[in-house]
Amino acid sequence: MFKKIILFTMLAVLAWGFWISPNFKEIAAGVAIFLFGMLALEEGFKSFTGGMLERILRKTTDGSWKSLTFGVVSTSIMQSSSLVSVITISFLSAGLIGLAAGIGIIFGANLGTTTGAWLIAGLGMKVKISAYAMPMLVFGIILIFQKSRTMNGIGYILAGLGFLFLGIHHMKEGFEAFRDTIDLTAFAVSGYRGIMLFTLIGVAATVIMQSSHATLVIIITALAAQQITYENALALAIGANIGTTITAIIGSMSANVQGKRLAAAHLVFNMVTAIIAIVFIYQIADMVDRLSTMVGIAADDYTLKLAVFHTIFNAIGIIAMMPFINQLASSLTKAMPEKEHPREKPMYLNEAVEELPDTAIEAVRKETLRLYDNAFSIIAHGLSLHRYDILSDKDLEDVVKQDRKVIPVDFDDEYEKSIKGLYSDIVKFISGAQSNMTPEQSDELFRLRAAGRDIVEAIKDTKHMNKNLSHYILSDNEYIRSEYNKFRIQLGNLMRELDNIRNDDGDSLNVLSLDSLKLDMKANDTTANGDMEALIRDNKITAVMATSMMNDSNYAYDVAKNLIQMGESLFASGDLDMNDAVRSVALTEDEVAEILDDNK
Amino acid sequence: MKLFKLLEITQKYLDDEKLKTSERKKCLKDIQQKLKKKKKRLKEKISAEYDEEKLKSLKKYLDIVTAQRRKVIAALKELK
Repeated sequence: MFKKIILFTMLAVLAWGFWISPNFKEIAAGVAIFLFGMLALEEGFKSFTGGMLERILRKTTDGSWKSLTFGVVSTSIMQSSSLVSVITISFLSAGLIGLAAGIGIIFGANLGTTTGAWLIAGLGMKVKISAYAMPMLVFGIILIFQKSRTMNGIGYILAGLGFLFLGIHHMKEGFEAFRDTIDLTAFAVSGYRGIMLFTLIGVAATVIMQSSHATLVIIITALAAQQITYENALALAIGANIGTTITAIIGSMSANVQGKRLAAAHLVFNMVTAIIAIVFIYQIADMVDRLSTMVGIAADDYTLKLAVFHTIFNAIGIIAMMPFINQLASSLTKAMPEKEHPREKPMYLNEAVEELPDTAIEAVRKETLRLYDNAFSIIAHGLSLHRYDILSDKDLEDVVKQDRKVIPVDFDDEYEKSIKGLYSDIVKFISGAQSNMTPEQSDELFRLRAAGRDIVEAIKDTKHMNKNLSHYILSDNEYIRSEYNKFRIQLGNLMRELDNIRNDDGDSLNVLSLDSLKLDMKANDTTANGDMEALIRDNKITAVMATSMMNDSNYAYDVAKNLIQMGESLFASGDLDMNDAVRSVALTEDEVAEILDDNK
Repeated sequence: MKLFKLLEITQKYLDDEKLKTSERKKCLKDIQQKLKKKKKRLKEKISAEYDEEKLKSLKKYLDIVTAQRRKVIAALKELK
């Protein structure tokens, strides 16, 4: 309700402003067009983020300086620190990067965003920028209608730039016309009182527009039209820097605690930088003057001097904060501790990771791996084996011989407690995350959903098998006991191998190792059938035992098949193209059978 | 001549299908190289192994890698 009142009040004030001043209308329209341009630009860059950005991120975030450089470069190219912070929060929430790396990127984004001021002050104020806007808009819109994703992305970027230029043009025109009617410099306040006041105005303007770029454009155009004083413009720029953190804070609200920590780090950095800039504003302004003279910027070119100031005070912030990046990360971790995650609740699925398709896929993969971890214990206990025995180096034949105890499992209860809720959340998330995805990305999500189904099927098959298994591993008939122990050992070994393949995710071909498990599975099944026939023929087992064994041999085969299938989808951690190519090389059941026949 | 080459490269990047095929080729070639190395390593292991059981298992694995490589080569031929 409160939000609605604010919105309508704001609209009413704007309408009144438009009524009394056509120049104000032109400035406001300029801001609106500029913001629309930012949205189009972000949309364009988002279509290029698929896989590439993730690959670059993984390679460049293993050191603080590398993350910083990534932040500077990506923000300079995309001209949106908000987009970079939202992407960083998204990556952090999906567990793709660590907090220190995320903080490094955010620091870099703060410096990268200052290139915007340079472009606006250097180009926007000196060249007739609207002349470039028109062709960009025409070409951009034509490309937006193209089917190709690449063309579409280029179209959005061109249209975005076109709108940005057009917005700047309208703001410039508006302020210049304003000069003839009202002199805003009459409201200038000098000294520290003015600095504080205009810093607060800068914060408020950026919070409302959610774009420090838009605030900077207003500051620069107003400064170029001599509607604000240079000193007040500096304070406004400091305020814009603080206000820009609001996007990251809003973005982190739907993120997990990691995302919230990053937003807090962003706020801390910008606050510290702002305090330094306010305290030493006259010294920094002096430094700007000297530097400007050195590089040949005219003494009265205040717009370019503002850009220099913007870069210098952000660089000072980085120099002051970089040595403490790890301390900042650890104190934020302490101040905002991670809540203990219940097994049945999702850990990686949240709105923040939905922002980028690749991050959403990675989050679903990680969550489904958690589902597998929960299922691992149930299946292991269903085979009357301990998780730690399967994951050890022990020979499972010895384990089975030494420990002839049945582990009691309530499958329904375990399923309710640790599978059902998590599985439902994964399925629900997948259904919601598919919009904005390419067909390939949607296919990957379907594959992951199928992996979840395979896990559930494996549990169900184990449950069916468990009834006879619990009975026959304690049987006095050594033959039937031995056959059921074989099932346990084979499935236990399979789970051990799956774990090895899963942990080998540095190797992009790890999924191909599953083919040898397929071969073993087929071979075991053939051997089990042969053994069973021999036991019946030699009257070593009863007909009832034989029937049970026949059914359970099928269940064991299905458990193995489902787990291998799950591994093919879940253990592939490379990019989509690579995963797809690897899967196309994996052997089919018939191809495996052929190899088995050749080996006979 | 250079202009045609430039146009070809630009087209490759702007045409989704062509870009996809080129990416696929790159991935398959990478897999082919890795499988080749794997096969070489397996052959070395086989020649140094005397245990019957282990030898059997290694040979089985070699058969799998050979079949996988065959599939990669066929897929690359198809893309050409």
